Formats: sequence, C-alpha cells, structure tokens
Amino acid sequence: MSGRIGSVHIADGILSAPVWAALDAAAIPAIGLAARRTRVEHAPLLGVMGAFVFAAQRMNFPAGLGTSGHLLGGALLAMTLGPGAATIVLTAILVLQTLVFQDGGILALGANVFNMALIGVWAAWIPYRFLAQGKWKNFGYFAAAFLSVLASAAAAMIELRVSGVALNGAVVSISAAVFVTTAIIEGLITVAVMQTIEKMNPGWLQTPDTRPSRAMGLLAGAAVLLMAVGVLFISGAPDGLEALVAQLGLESREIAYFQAPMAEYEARIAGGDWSRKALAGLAGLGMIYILCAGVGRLLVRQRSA
Amino acid sequence: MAALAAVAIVWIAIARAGLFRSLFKASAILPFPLSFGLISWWVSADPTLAVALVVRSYLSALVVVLLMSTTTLADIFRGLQSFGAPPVLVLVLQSLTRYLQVVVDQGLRMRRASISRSGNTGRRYSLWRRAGGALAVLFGKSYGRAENVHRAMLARGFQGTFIALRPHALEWRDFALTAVAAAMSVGAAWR
Repeated sequence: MSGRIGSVHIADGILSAPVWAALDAAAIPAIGLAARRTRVEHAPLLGVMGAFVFAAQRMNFPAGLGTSGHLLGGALLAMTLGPGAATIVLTAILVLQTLVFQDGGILALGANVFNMALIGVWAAWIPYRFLAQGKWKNFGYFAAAFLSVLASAAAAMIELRVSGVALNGAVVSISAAVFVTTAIIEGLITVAVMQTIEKMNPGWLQTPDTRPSRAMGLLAGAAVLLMAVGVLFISGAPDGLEALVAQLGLESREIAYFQAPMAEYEARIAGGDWSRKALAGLAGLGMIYILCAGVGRLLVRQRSA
Repeated sequence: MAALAAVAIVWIAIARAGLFRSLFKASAILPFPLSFGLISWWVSADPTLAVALVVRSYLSALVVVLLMSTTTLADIFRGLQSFGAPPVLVLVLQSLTRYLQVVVDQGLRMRRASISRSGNTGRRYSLWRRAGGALAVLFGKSYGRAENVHRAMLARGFQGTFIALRPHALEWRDFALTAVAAAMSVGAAWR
C-alpha cells in the first residue's frame, strides 16, 4: 500500500477519531519508555541506521513474475540495535515519511507508530530472542521478519475494521494473500542480509539473553494473543470482531460508537454541523497531551528518585 | 468540507507556498485512500463514502504540505522538543535528516556499480545473495560512518544536544495566528 506492497502507512481520514486518538495516546508513553531504554550517545548511530533503512528500501529484490520486493527493515533493526532503539529509529522514520514524503497521515501517525515501531519491532524481537541461536538461527531470522510484517498488517486490519471501514471476505482474503507474500519476501531478504552481516562482524548483532525474564514471557504471551486475533481477521472472517464482542458479552453499541464517525460521512459531506464534535475532538487531544505529559513527568521523577 | 478546503487554500495563498505545487505534492498521499475508496465503493455500493474518504485524506496531506512549506524541519524538531518529545528521539530525527541523502546516494551508487559489473542477470538465488550482500555491506559502511560521525561530534565538544543559534520563544504573534487559524477552521465547519 501507499505505493509499496505490504507497507501499511495508514493515511488520515480512514481510521475513526476514537481509534486514531486512542492509538496516538498509547504510542506516546510507549515511545517515552523506549527512549528511556536508549542512550543519547547512540543517537548518531540510530540516525544513520534510519538513513540506511531508507536506502535499503530503494534496493529491489526480484520476487518472480516480473515483480520485486524490498526490505522494510523493522526486524533487521530490532535484531541489530535492540527493540528499544529500533522503536526510536522506526518512529523517526515514520515522522519523516509523514512530514516530508506524505506517506501516512499526521493524525494516523500514532497508529502507524503503534503498528510498525511497537508491534512490528516486538513481534520480531520475541522469536529472535528465543530462536536465534545454534542451528535454529536462520529460522529465527526468518520468523522475526515474517512475524514483524504479519503482526503489523494484522494490527492495521483490526484498526480499519474497528473504524468501520467496509471490508468483505474477498477484500480480506486478497489483503491476507498480499501481506503473507510480503512477509515471506521480508523474511527471505532479512535472512540473506543477516547471514552476511554475521560473517562481516558478529558484534553488530544483539546477543539474545538465554534466560528470559518473566516480563519477557508475558510479552511473548501478548504477542501470541495478538497474532491469534490477527489471524482471526485475516483468515477471511470479517465478522470476527462482532463474534469476539458477543463472546465477551459486550453490547453492539460499542461497535456502533467506534463506527459512528465513518457512518456519518454522508452527513458531513452534505454540510452537517460537526463543529461541536471538532471542538470536542480538540478538547480530547488536549486532554491526551496533558495525560501523556503527566505520565512522562511521573516516569522521569521516578527515574531520578 | 468544501469550506475547510477553501480555508486550506486561503492559507496556502497567504503563505505564498505555491498553490499548484502544494496541490501536486499533497497528491502523494492519494494511492492509499484511493484504494480504500474503491474498496469502500465496491463493498457498500455508495460512492459518497469513497469521495469523503479521499477528500479527507487529501485535505490532511495538503495541510501537512503547508506546514512543511512554511516551517523548516529543524524548527519542527525543536518544536517537538519544546512539547516534551524525548531528547533522544529529536536527536535521532536530526541525525536521520542530516545523513538521509548521504546514505541513500551511497546505496544507489553501490547498486549502479553492481549492475554495471554484472548486470541484473543470473539465477534468482545468486541475485538474492548478491543483493543481500550489497545491503549488508551498506549496513557495515553506515555503521562505520555513524562511529566516525559520533567521534567527530565528541571532538567538537558535543554534550548531548545541538546548540540552537536562535532560541525559540512563543510570542504574541504566534498566539494571534493560532487563534485566527482555529477560528477560521471552526467557522468553516460551523457555517
């Protein structure tokens, strides 16, 4: 999408306001936490590595039938820089793509950061952490890149579905096929690059800890859950969310609430009065900013205490 | 929505950002909403939804183009920092912007050299190995470049932040402009 197969840079106007606002609110403290794990002295390295990802996206790999793919880079960054630093680099890349290249929307930036810099990076880091040793190494590289792309795509599909974007079985199936193909290409390119990087200097790779902590175990569980939900959606079951909500005993009005902004397009384009909602949205954004600033201050105070 | 579009165009005119250039640059966003618009049209058989989706995406991109035509990236990054963005993220953004073209050019030169040496022919496996190897070499060169850059910065007394020659400060003009812009947007929506 957005000119490149498989990269899911969501534009503005597609996600509903509660969805993009919630993801903006979730992404900001998560980036704050990633920044805490990253040393300022590494900033030049991370900046140049971000530039490397841009360059890598210009290098084509023949994928057959006259088509070609290219590296997306989330998994490669996670495996070479570590997950916290990779999140920061990918966030910087997404900010620049939004501002300079009109690739992704400014309001949907939080959603794109959430999908690619958070879910994409952690979905890569977890299999790498557990598998990238001994004879499983190449499989670990492949699984990291494959899951990174697939988890990002599944998250985007869920967000679109919750926003009320009309998707039928055929659209979901075609999208799933494109995403799986992209994920396989990403996996194969990443294996090819990682094998050479490893030969050049094994010190450039992050060494996974052999004894995972409890927090990592929880994260692994969350990732598996996310993948399960993602597969539910991309396996041609567009009504999966309604079924999930029904199983959880929630009323259908939650869905109606999320879908409302899309459902009212007609009223808006016909000149409906939505200034009240616009003001409410601005107030909501202000509250999100104050909340995030407050949480950030609290984190900094705890750190310095 | 037409009124909001008019507001955006008025601001582009006031900023003397070049109307046609801005309209053209914002069209880079179109592939994504157009594909979703077509899907929406196909699934719901209602073109109104599709049009609204594309117009909203395009307007948002137009406003981003206006921002980029009137404000330098350096100023935007410093603004981000004053809003409380983590300093390390701002530093990464500054380094990324500085070295983006340098590393992309190096990658393109390497690709050109590779094609001129052996062409884009051969078995697919060997093409992949070759392209993967080229990317790994670029990775290594970028790593080395980053280390040199960091050493050079330290040698020049870098202490964790870039020094601004002209300090930022919010003036009454900024507040007035923000108020006028907000009033115009809300007024256009109110009608």
